[in-house]
Amino acid sequence: MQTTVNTAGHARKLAAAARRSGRSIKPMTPGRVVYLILAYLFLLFIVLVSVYPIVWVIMSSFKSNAAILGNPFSLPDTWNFDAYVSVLNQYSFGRYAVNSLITAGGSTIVSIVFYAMAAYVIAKYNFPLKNFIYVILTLTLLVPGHTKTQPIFQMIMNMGLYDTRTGLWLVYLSGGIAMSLFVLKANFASIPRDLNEAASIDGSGFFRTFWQINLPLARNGLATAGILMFLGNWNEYYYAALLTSSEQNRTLPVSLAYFNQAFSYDYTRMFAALTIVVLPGIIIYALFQEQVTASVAASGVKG
Amino acid sequence: MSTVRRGRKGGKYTLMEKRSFPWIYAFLFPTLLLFAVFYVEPIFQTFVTSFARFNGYTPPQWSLDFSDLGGTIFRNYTRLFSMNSFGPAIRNLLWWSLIAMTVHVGIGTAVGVLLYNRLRGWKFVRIVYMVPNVISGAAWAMIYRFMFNDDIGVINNLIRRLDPSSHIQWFYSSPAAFWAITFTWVFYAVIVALVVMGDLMAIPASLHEACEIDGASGFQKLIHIDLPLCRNAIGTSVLLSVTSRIAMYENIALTSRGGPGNDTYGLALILTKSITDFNYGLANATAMLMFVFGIVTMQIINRVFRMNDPVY
Amino acid sequence: MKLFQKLVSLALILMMALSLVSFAAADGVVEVTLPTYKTGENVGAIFFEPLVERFNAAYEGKYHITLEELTQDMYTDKIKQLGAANALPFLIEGGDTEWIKQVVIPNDMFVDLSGLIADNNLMDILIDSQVAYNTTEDGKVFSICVPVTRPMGLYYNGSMINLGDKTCADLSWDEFIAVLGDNKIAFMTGENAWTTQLVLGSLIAVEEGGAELLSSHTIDKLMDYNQPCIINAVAKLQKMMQENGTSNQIGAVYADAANAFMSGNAAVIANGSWMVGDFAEDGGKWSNGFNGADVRGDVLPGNVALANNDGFQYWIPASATAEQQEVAKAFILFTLQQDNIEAYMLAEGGVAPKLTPSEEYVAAASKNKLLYEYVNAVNADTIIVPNVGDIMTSSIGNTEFGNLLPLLISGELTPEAFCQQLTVLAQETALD
Repeated sequence: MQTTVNTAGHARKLAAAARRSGRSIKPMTPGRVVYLILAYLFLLFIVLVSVYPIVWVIMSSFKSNAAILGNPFSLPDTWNFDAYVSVLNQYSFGRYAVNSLITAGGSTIVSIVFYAMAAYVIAKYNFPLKNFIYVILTLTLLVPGHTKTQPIFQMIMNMGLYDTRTGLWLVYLSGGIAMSLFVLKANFASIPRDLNEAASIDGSGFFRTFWQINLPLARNGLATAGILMFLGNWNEYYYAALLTSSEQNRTLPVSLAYFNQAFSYDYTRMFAALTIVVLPGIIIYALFQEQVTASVAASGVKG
Repeated sequence: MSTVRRGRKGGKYTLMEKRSFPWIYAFLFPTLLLFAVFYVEPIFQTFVTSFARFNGYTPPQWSLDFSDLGGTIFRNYTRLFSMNSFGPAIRNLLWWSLIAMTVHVGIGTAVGVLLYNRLRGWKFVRIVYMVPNVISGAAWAMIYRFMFNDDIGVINNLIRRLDPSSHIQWFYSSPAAFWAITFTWVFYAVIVALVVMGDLMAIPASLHEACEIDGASGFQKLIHIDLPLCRNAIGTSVLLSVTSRIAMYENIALTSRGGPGNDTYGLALILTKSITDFNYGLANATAMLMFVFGIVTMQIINRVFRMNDPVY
Repeated sequence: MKLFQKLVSLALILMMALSLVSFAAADGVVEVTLPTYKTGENVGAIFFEPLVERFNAAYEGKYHITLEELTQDMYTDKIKQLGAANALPFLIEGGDTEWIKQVVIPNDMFVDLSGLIADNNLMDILIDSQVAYNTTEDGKVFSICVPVTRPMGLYYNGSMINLGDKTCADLSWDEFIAVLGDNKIAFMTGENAWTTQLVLGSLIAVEEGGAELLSSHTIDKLMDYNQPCIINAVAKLQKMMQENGTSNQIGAVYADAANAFMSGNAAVIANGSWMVGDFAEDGGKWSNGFNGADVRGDVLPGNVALANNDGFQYWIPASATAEQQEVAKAFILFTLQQDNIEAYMLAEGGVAPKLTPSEEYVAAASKNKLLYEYVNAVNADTIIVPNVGDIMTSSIGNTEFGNLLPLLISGELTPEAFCQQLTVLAQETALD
C-alpha cells in the first residue's frame, strides 16, 4: 500500500513502518504465545469464512449431483468441465460479460475524468462555496441507492433508455462520487504546488496544467479510484435488474437471477454458472489487488 | 486549510485565483451536473411524491385536508407505519445496526490491529479478506443460500456430524433466518479493517516510542493510545456499516425473501415490493424514511465520535 | 367460403405489400423476440420450444420468433414493469390479473382480438366461457386461450403406495393419508408454493361452501380469508405438512419438490398433467432408483380436480408495431391449429371439448399410459374448481403465502392466525 498511494502522510508512514519492523523480533513470553495463538485462530477463521464459500462453490461445480447431495465436503473425483460446457452453450455469458464491461467500464472511464477535474480544483484552488460543494458531494456516500429507485426508473423511461446499455451506463456514471473524490483529492493535494506555479510562469494554461502536469502525476489515484468504481458497477445488481429486461442487455450479476430457477434441478450446473459469474471479479481483483486495497483504506480518510 | 485564507479581511481571493474561477467552475460542472441529475432531482422528486397518491399510471395527486392529515398529505406515511411488515423491518434494522456497530466493526478493528502488527502472513490475510467484497452481492447471497441449504449445505451437514437429527431451516424459520442473514455480512468487515489500519499507520512513531520508554505493555498501548487515535476510522466504519444495513437488499431478497412470515423484512424490501405493486407514493415514503435514517445516523456518529474535532 | 377467399386474397395482398416494404428495410424477415419462461428446464418448454421452432419453420423467410428466457417466478412482475416502461413484448401470456383488469383493460393497452376470432371462425374451437371471460364490457376480446382444459390432480409412486382397486376419487384425504402411512408428500414453501397450493385447493373444495368460494373469486380476488372453510382446510394442511411433509419442504422451490418426488423421498406430488413428460424418460432428473414407470396419475383425494378456465392467455399489447401484431396474430392462429392443439395435449395433457380428435392423436394418446390415466381419472362426480392461487392477489399468491407457510408448519401460527395474516396482506397490497 505504501508504494501505491502517494498521500500526504506517506513519508511519515514509511518511517513508522521502518521503525516497527524492528519490533518483530520480540521475546516469546507466555503472554505473547497466548496472544499469538488467539490471533492466528482468529485470522484463520477470517480466512476461512472469506474463501471457503467460494472454494466450495468451485469444487461443487466439478462434482456430480449425487456427490453434492451425498458428501458436500469431498473434493471432486475428476476435473470434469461438462457442466461448464453445457452452461456456456445454453447462456451467452460472453455477451453478459461484454455488457457488464461496456456499462461498468464505459461509465468508469468517463466519470473518473469528471471526478478528477472536480477533485483537482477542490484540492488546488480556493473559490466560493468550495467546502460546501465538497461536503455535499461526499455526503452522497450516505444515500442508499434504492431511495432513488422510482425517480430514476421514471427518468430513464422518459429518456427512452429503458432496456438499453446506455441507460445503465448513465446511471452508473453517478456511482462512486464520494469515494473517488476522497481518493483523488488527497492525491492531487500531495502534488507539490510549485509545479503549478512553475507551469503558469512558463505560460501553461489552466487546462494544460491539469491535463499535462497534474493528471499524469495522479495516475496512482486515478487507478485506485477507477478500479473500485469499476468493481462497484461491475457487481451492481439492483439497477441492472430494474432497468434492463432483454437478454441482449443483461449483465453478469443479473444473469444470476435468471438461471436461478432453470438450473435448480441440477446443482452442478448451478455451481458452474455461479463460478462463471464470480470469477471475473476475483481475477480483476487479483490483477489490481494493491489498488483495490489502497482505495478502500483511502476512502475512509476524511477530508 | 481554506479557512485560514478566508480569515483575511478584504479580498478573500487573490487576483490570480479570481481569474481562474471560470475554469474552476467549468471543471466542477460535469460532476455537479451528475450530482444534480442523479441525486438532487431524484431525492427532491422522492420527497415531493412521498406525499402524493401516485401509482405510476395517473399523475401524482396531492390533497390536503387539515382535519385528516394522516389520510391526505401523510397518507403514504400512515400506510407505511401501519403495514404488517413495518414493525419487523424497523426491529430488524435496529438489531442489525447494533450488531454492525459492535460485532462487525469489532471484528474489522481486530483484523485491522492484527494487520498493523504485521503478524507473519498479514499480507495474505489482507488479500483474502477482500475477496467477498469484490464479487457481486447477489452472487454472495446465493452462495449463502446454498451454504445454509438443508440438503446440500455445508453448515447443516457439519452440524449433523455432531447432532444427526438436526435440520435447522436457516432461512425459513424464526429466529434462525435473522441470524442466517446476519452471517451473510457480519464477518466481512474488510473495509473497517483497512480504514482502521490506515489510521494506525498514521500514528506518529514518537508516540509509541514514548510509550515504550514509560514501560507500557502492548495491550495498554492499544487501549490508551492506538484505539482512541483511530476514533475517526472507527466512527467512519460505524457510519458506513449502519448505512449499509439501512440499504440492505440482496442479502434478504435473494435468501429469505423477508420470511418466514415477515420476520426478516427490511425497508428496502418494502420499497421494492411497493414498486412492483405500483404503489409509488408508498415506495417513495419508504425511501424518504431510509434517507432520514441515514442523515440521523450520520449526525449521531459525528457527535459521539467527535468526527469534526482534530484527533491530534 | 366467400369470406375466406376474401381473407386469403387480402392476406396475400398484405403480404406482398409488406414484403416489398420490409424487403427495402431488411432482408424481408420480421424478427421478434418473445420473453417467456417456457424454455430450458421449465416443464412448459417440452411443448413450447418445439412449437416455436415449427412456427419459425412454417413461416421461414417471413417471421422469426426468438425466445428469451425469463424465470416463471419473475414473469408477471417483469411484464408489469415492462408495461410501466411502455416496452411490452409483442405477445404476452397472461400476467397479473389485477394489473390487467385495473390498468391494461381500462387504459386500452391491448389489441382487440374479436376480429381475429370472427375472421377465422375460431368460435368453432374456442371454449365459450373462456371467450366470455375475456370479453370486455364494450365487446372487445382481450386475450385468446388455447381451448384445452386441464384439470390438475396428483401423481404418486406406485412402488411406494398401493391404493388397491381404488382411486383417489373413492378416497377422502383422511383415508388417503392412512394409505400413505409414513410416506411423504412433496410440498414446497418457496416461489409460489405451487404443489402446496394444489393440496390446499382440494382441501378447501371439500369443505362446506369451499367449492363455491373458490369458483366465485377468480375475477374479484379474495380479500377475506377468515372463513370457516379456509381455516378448516388450513388446519388439515398444517397437520399434513407437519406429519407427511418432505424433509426439504421448507424453502423448497418447485425443482426441490420435483427432485424429492423423483428421488423417491416423496411418494406423492400434486401437479398438473404437464409433468408426465418428466416421467417418460430419465433426462438426468431421476435418482436414487426412481423409475418413471412406477408413477401413477390420479385426481386429488375427495375426488377433486383443479382447473381454472377463467383466465387470460395470449394477448397483444397496443404498443406492438403493425408488423409485430401481424406476427403475434399468426402465432396465435398457429397454436390453434388442430395438430398443434393435439401436440399440446400429448405433451401436457388436457381435453379440448370442441375438437374432434384425429386418428393420429388417439393412437398416440393411448400409448402414453400415464397421461391417459391422469386425464381419465376425472369422472362425472369430480368436483372441478379453480385453484387457490387463482383466488389470491398476485403478491399473496406469488410470495406471501409461501413466506407464511414455515410459520404454519412450526406451529407459530395457528390456522386462524394464518388466515388473519393473509387477510391483512390482501388488504395491504390493494392498488393505490
